[in-house]
Amino acid sequence: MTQAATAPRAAAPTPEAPSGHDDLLRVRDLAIDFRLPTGRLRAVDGVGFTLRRGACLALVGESGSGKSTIAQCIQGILPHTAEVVGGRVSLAAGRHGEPSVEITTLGRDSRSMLALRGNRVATIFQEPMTALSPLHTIGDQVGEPLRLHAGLSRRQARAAAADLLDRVRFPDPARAVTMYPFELSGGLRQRAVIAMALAGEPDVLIADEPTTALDVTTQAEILALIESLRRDAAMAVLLITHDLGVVAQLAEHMVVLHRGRVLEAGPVRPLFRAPGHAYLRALMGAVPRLHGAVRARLTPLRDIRVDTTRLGPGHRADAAAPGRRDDHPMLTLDGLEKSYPLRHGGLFRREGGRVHAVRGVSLDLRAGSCLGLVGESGCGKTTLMRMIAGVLQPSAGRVLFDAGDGAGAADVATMDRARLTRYRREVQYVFQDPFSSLNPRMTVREIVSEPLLIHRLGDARRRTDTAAELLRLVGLDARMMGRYPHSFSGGQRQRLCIARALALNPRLLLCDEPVSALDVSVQAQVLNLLADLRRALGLTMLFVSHNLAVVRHVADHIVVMCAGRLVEKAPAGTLVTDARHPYTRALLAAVPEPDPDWHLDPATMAATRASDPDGWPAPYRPAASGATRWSAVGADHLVAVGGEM
Amino acid sequence: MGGYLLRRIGLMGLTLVVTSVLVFIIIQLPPGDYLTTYIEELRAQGEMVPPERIAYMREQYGLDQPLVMQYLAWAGGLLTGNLGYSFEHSVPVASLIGDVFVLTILVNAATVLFVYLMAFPIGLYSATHRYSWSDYGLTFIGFLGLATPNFLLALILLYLSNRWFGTAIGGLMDPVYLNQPWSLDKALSVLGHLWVPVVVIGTAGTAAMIRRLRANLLDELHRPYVTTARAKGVPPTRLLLKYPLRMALNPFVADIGNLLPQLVSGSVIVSAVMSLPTTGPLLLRALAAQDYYVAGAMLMFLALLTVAGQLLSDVLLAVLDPRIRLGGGTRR
Repeated sequence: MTQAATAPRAAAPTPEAPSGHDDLLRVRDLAIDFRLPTGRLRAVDGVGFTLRRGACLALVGESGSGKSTIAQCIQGILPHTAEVVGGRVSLAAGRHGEPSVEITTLGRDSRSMLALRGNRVATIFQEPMTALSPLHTIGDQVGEPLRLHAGLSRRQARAAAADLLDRVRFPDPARAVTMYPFELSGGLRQRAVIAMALAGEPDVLIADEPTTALDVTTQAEILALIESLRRDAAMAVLLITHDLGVVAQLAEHMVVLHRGRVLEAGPVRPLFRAPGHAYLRALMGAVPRLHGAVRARLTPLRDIRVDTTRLGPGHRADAAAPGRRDDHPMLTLDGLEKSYPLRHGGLFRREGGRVHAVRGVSLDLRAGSCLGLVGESGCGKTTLMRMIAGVLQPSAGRVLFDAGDGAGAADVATMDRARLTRYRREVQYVFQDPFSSLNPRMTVREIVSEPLLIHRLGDARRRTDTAAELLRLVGLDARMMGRYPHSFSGGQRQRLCIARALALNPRLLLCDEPVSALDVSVQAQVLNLLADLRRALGLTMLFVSHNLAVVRHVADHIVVMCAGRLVEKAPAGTLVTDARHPYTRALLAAVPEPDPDWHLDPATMAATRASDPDGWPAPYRPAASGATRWSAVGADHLVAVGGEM
Repeated sequence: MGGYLLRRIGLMGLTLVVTSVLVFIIIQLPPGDYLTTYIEELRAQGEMVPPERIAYMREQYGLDQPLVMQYLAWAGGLLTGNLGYSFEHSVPVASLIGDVFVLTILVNAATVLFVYLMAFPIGLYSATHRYSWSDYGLTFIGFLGLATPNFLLALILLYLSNRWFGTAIGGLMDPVYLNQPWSLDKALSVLGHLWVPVVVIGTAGTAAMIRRLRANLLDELHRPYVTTARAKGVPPTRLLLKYPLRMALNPFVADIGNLLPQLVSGSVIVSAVMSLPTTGPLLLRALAAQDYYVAGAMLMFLALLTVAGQLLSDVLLAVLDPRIRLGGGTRR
């Protein structure tokens, strides 16, 4: 069991733990400063905790809470600008007779520090896409700790790497060692990163947001893997995350950090049941949940006030628009397909088969409603969104749009220039990554008013006024207009993106994973904002996400997409409680709930197999031609079964 | 990979055929031919040329043939290693440009080596010690190197080397060895003279490469895979060489394709200033005198080096970077 303790000056909910024989990693009064051009910034302020052998302790907090800095300090890989200004980190004697060490006294790249890293302390990083070098084979990178610490030869290290990959249940490990990271899926890459961390048989395994970048089904597999490895290898795991669902699944103890200080610490179960500190309560309130009653609003840590009172005449709620019917189908997808030819490279390109990114998607989206689209990465949901936005041409099928102005529905592909320009005003897009979807060289004013400029609306002064209104609309200060995107946090940037999307007073908002790059607390903020805007402006929304809990929170109806097909469609509540399709069920089972009494079913390990249509049982398996058709199973509840239309 | 190579080599051949047609058309474009230029020259000296002699010479040189036949004869000659005949110097082109090519390639290969040997350690140091005084100092020297016109540098270095080492000004060897057969002494003399043009031609390139390497490395140094390697306990120097440097190399390998033709055509001004016996001045003169076959052979050689350079850098890139090697087959 682990006891967490806090520095005297922080509010200390638990007393200083007596140091026991079982203590493996002890952090005491740790203080770390960053030297910035503007002065010193204390990133970690008097943090203390103890990790016992074989236990799992979670450091919980938002970005900027100092949790990753603590992890870097434990491995001695703090950036050059950081400096330990107080406290100790000590690691007790290892399983294989290694002596105990005071990590904070070691030099950054000293011999003893190098011997520690990757050997006694190893890390699983967040981004499996970038945490591996693209130029070196998996075998080389996984076996590298063994070559460094155990003195294995290249050949031996490669053989050992294959064994390690086998331990993390890699399919065909002998082949995998010769492969490169870009040849593997995200989940497999993360397995390789885990195998690499296991190579040195570490005493402490630091898992730094190990599943944040992964799909929910892959996340479930990786969590189950970490859990089983911890039990088998008797490793201690230091889990670093902002996701309370992951904490509930893995950790026995947790330390809640906020701005470098410990706010609360203790065993997970009582803390989840009765969070003492207001911050933890707020953090819990911010998580959208899959089960239980749907709350009208999430409770973000810092609520933002949406200012819709001073909307200009260009931003009236659609309800006031004349001649508008209430819930006509605004968007109709009719047998939409997108396929790409398989290419053989070279001078004379030969066409092989075709890859279907989207196949036979038919949907109705009623005006004023919010439809959630759920699926894993690679299922075709972004391709679908792009076809709706008119950026990609469908290979077959139609996208019909009816603005409700009495002109009737029109096919996006055959619109004339003027109509298409109007369509582009009526449909706007919010992207997943608020960091790369804003031009870093444009000011906020330029970013938010650019759509107006492109569509030649108003003069410069009007555009600036509108930009100010839009910023107030998303709860940002209009005085920030002269700043550049880099001075905003992730949540603020996503609000900028939303403001930009609203600039043209659209009717339909396409949201492509708008919160998946954000922290839980900020996520709640943005979700609330979208809900408020939808109500105030009468927006119709298509909301894409891989997170069922998020979609359930915002959407009226949910459709589930897998391998380019829609597999199930139901009202949000029904889908969660009464899912029929095996893929939907696998998705539901894979969501980690922030509840320590609820555990992931080991059967969800089969989740990736559930994303292969050929593995679906009888009624659901597509026909030989790949065709599926809807079958009604309840009120408004459709599920795809094999067979021609 | 094998199929890819074959296809690329086939494309190379096609490119060269097209280039040879273009080269031939371009050198034929100015009005008149070598004979008219020659006759003009003789007339200017007050000599009369009998029309029979002109007709005879025209036939001798094959200049009375239609252009297509002239082209075919020339291209056929190129294929069989017969580069043609220099009208101006009255010697086969091969013997005229052979020695010049050897010296040109020597100078420029030494320059490339110099650039890489200087730029890599400095660039590495500069990137890993960013914003330190040493980085600022090296950056300053680098910009000086970029900004100094190289003919000016050439004059300064020539003066200094003459004052301090007593090396003869200009040329690639002591005047006594000119037109002598190769010997050890001659080779030593060449080496003694070589460093000045190498430094002159290489300075700007070195400075540019330091800047590029520094920028490339700075991009890579903070990538997550570098942190991963650090967390594995890889020692700092080994880490730098194995991960970020490997990644930063790609643009330099891609550059080899451009380097090869520069080996031959580059540094014309410097060669003229330093009176180096390299191809630059020779090509200039051949073009001015409408000495078809000399100009044609040199242009074709440049074309060959360009396509061969591109092939070489593409193949090297594929060898170095698995994403390029395997990417085509696995993606979609």
